[in-house]
Amino acid sequence: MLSRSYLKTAGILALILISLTTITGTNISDPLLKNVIVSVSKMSNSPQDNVNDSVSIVVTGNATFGTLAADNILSSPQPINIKSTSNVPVNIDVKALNWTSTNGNMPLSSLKFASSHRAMTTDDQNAITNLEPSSAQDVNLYIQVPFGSLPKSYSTTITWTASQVT
Amino acid sequence: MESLKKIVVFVFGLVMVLGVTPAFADSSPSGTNGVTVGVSPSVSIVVSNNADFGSLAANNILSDAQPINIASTSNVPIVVNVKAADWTSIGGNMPLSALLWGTTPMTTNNAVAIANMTAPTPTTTSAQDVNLKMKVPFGSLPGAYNTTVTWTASDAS
Repeated sequence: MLSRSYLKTAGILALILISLTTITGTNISDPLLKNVIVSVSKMSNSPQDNVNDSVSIVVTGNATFGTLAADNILSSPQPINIKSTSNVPVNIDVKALNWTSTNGNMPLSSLKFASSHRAMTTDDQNAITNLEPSSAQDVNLYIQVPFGSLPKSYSTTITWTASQVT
Repeated sequence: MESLKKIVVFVFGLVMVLGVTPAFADSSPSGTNGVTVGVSPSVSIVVSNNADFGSLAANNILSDAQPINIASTSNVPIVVNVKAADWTSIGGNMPLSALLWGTTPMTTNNAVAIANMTAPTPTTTSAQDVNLKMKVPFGSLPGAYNTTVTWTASDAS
């Protein structure tokens, strides 16, 4: 003979399975089981309601351009990989801090991005439009060192920010 | 108590079945990357204009000036030297020294034309005119005379 506890366990399992398809729970008399069913029904009536929109990205790669001449010539591209770990389409904006250097005079605009070679600024600019969930895209960075840029080492940090496509 | 444990176990199991586990992974709507670049010292100039004096008399009189613009595209201070090749002419006899930069006769050897030219900045230019003049000596044979003037920059820092 099965014990009462085994029967109860089997009953709970059966009810959970039912709840995964259509949840009613109206015939449940055991107060404990009813409580379980109530909590299940909240999640399974419309499962999508319980998965919040999430917006997140993973940025891979650092751009090291080596040493360049101040010749106003565009450098070779350095790709930065932006992977969306969101569950909704996102737009990606990019901005950068001003160069860190010791008495350097090179403007931040010497740093370019994307195929259109747009000049980087300290304000957000759109870099990728409508990046699908779980997809990735490279964005190329370039340097165009203007004439007269002092021979120094320059570094900066670029921030890529995702926002949900509205 | 036993029933409560079972309920807890089943609730967690159900949560896992429904795929609504809380996200513990580190996720963020933004990410960063670094950029580094070194800029090397560079010495370069841009020379504009050709000097065309037209026809002059062999009267040993200084001609009008023909300005040559020297623009630095360096990122260090520079010295600019100047020299010229001997005249190219057919049967001519005018010496190269008939050509002057400023008041100094030209030679085939480098001479300092601009001693310390500052570097431009990304937002400003650095340029200077050097005047070329002719002083055709008496007895210079009539003819066309041509030469090439070479301006050479070097690091003055």
